[in-house]
Amino acid sequence: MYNVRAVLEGRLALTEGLASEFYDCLACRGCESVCPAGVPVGNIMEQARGLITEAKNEGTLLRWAKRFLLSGVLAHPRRLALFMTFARWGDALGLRRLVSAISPALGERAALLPAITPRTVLADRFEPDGKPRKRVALFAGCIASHLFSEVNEATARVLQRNGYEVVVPKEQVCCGALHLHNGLPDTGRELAAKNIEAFKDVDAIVVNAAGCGAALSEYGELLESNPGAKSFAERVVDISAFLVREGFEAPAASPSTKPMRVAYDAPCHLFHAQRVKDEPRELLSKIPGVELVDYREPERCCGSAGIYNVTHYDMSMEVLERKMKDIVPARPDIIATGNPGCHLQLSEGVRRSLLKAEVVHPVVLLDRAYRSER
Amino acid sequence: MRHELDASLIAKLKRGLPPESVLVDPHHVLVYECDGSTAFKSSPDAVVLPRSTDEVAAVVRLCSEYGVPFVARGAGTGLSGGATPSEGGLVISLASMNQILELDLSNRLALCQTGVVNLEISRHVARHGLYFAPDPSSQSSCTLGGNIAENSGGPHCFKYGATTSHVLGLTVVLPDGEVVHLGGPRDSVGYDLVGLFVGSEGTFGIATEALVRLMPTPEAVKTLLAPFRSMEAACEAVSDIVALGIVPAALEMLDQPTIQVIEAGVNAAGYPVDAAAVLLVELDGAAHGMDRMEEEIRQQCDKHGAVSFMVARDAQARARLWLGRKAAFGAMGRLSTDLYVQDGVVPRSRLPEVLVKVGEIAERYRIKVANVFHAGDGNLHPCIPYDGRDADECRRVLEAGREILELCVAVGGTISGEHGIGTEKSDHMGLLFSEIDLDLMRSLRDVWNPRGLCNPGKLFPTSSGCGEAASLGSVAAAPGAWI
Repeated sequence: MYNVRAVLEGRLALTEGLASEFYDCLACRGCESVCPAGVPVGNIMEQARGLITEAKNEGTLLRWAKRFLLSGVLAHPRRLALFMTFARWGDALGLRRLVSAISPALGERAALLPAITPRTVLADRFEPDGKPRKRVALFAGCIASHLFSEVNEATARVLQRNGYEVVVPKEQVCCGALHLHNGLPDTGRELAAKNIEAFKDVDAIVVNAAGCGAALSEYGELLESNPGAKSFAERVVDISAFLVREGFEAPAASPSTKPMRVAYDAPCHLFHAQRVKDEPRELLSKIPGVELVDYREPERCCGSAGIYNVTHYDMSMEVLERKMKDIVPARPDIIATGNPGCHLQLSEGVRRSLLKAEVVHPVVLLDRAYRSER
Repeated sequence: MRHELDASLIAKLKRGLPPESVLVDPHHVLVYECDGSTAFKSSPDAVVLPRSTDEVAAVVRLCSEYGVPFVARGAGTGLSGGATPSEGGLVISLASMNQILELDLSNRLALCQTGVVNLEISRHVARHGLYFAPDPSSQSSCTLGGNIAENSGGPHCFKYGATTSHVLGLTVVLPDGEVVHLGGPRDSVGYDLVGLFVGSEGTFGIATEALVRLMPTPEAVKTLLAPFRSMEAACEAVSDIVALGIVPAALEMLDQPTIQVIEAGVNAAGYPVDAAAVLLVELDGAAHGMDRMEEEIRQQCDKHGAVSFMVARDAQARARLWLGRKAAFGAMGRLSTDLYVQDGVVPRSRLPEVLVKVGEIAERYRIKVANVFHAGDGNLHPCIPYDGRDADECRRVLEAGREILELCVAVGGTISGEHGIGTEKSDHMGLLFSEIDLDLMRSLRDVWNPRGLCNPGKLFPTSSGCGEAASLGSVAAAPGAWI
């Protein structure tokens, strides 16, 4: 932070060495939760990384890879769909094995991604069960809607079940979090403007991915000049916070025939950035058969941190190792977490530590419980 | 003057230490340009992070050989510019020397490397029912070495004494690189060299290991909070509580601006934001008789018109009350970009009038002041938030600071309670000492540090006499400028 200030004051040159150190930060924002002065570290880090892009002070390959994947593909739903189709074919043809053979380092990173399955396309409207309570919109996400379509379906069903009409605006795009975190604020702002427009007619914008929720809830600061930005940000709410605050029906059945030891691992962008701390645990505690287990520092970063586990693989795995050292002694059957990045990272942690546990989004567990009632 | 470091010196340092322990890049050395008092900046030419006494000694010998000034640094939480490299040269960071080497439980002693974080000592020995008593507000990050250099206090030093009362022995690297051992567990013969070293502000050498005293965790603790309608009433209550003969473990006061800024942040402690002042009192010791003490304190607070009187229910509630107080300086970051913390001491009985006058000074210089202080010791901490980029504001802040210290001395107090003189107050030593006194102290320093390479520019007035305005203005200085 001191270096960022010095750069902004013109006292320090933004060299390539310094730029690379700005990217060593996980941007988990854990420091914000304990900062007595309330320094918005995440925001400052985003701005600093924007400066790096402006100064073109990072490796050419990295710069172009980011531009292509984040701004070129992720930011455009149709291109992303096409890309994912190619990726699926590639996966089926053994592309990952080929990559590993050519470059083991790239292969390790590719192994973090789950098997790519065809996406089930989400309906754009879900009718409420019983008397309608409210109309809410679901933010479906970009890559998560491909890799984790199950979470979106579960979210919609859980909302339906609790009497909400759910709409999924077609014009919505990626939230821009990865762009903002990686020095592409212009793309981030373009995406924000599109989302503000897409969601202008709904009361609540329900999000099931912590990283997206954090970015969406900060549109007010990102696009100060956009008249709809502040109201958009205020309507953004994480699914667990929404259900707990508005009240939801406790399921009558357990999703499993056996009691489940559940470890809730708090995504940084839910706990630190959105300050949603207790709600996911409260939601889980209402599910029959769930026993929440405690372990050291569930609010400490797992090392996923967006694309950090790809760009800083070794450091990320060190952070993950520490996380698993804390989780394993609690002997969970389920690790619950509400963010796609953390989900993938913790799945890798489970694989590495030979733990027999499933990584699940809390809302998926709730949905399973509802569906076990019948 | 700036010391252009000889390339062969850097090469020798890199041979003796792991390469990542020698920092020379501009953005690496820049963060060592100041401590917690951001007003006083001066960048080192290089920073080294040794891991043992031998490595420190090797680095110091090289400095001595090349005639390069050096200063030891812990966590950089100091508030007087004590670990700022006033004349450039080398910063020797002890941050990697954070090991607790030996515990002697039966004699309640711990041998620690001095880069250990203060609170880590207490955490380490808590399971044995022991703790390390000095508790500066920065204790979750400040290091033992810094506490030794500044003879740091803390809220609980009202009862238990400052750092000097808790250090029995030291391993010191003298400014020529020689390693000596001072004091020890049973040493009371001859000159008290440990006592002399503690509080010498890094001008005698570098303490690398310390044998410290551990205290048994008290049987009972009570934390009390009393809000008042005026500072004056709260101060009078303090004087009367002390006059009863009760020795609370801590007697702290926070004024309204401080309360409000704490309550706005993540460490909100539940202090009433409409109170003019709150008194935070802690009692510790034997459980027997504690209820009676609490009652006597309650009576004194009532007598002076306390709005209410709260007793923390359990350890968690006590911790919350203390966290607010201890993070007070940090919370001031909500008010402005920079903070100047004063450290004057006055006789307890003069607290009310001094606080009124501090307010008048602030008004005259058009600055804000928030007071949070160790009322039991009469140790004031007027906090002045300011914007370091505004040269005129910097000048007003420093002038007001000097006037506050003059006021403290005029009522029979002193210019520092626990933060040290460092760079910040070196030009104010004349308020307390004559040139003869200062010469005597200089000659004492010269016995330890004859060439003046070890932490130069500290404690004593500089020949120019008034470099202050320049120091504060350095925030806006051009890159690489030397001030």
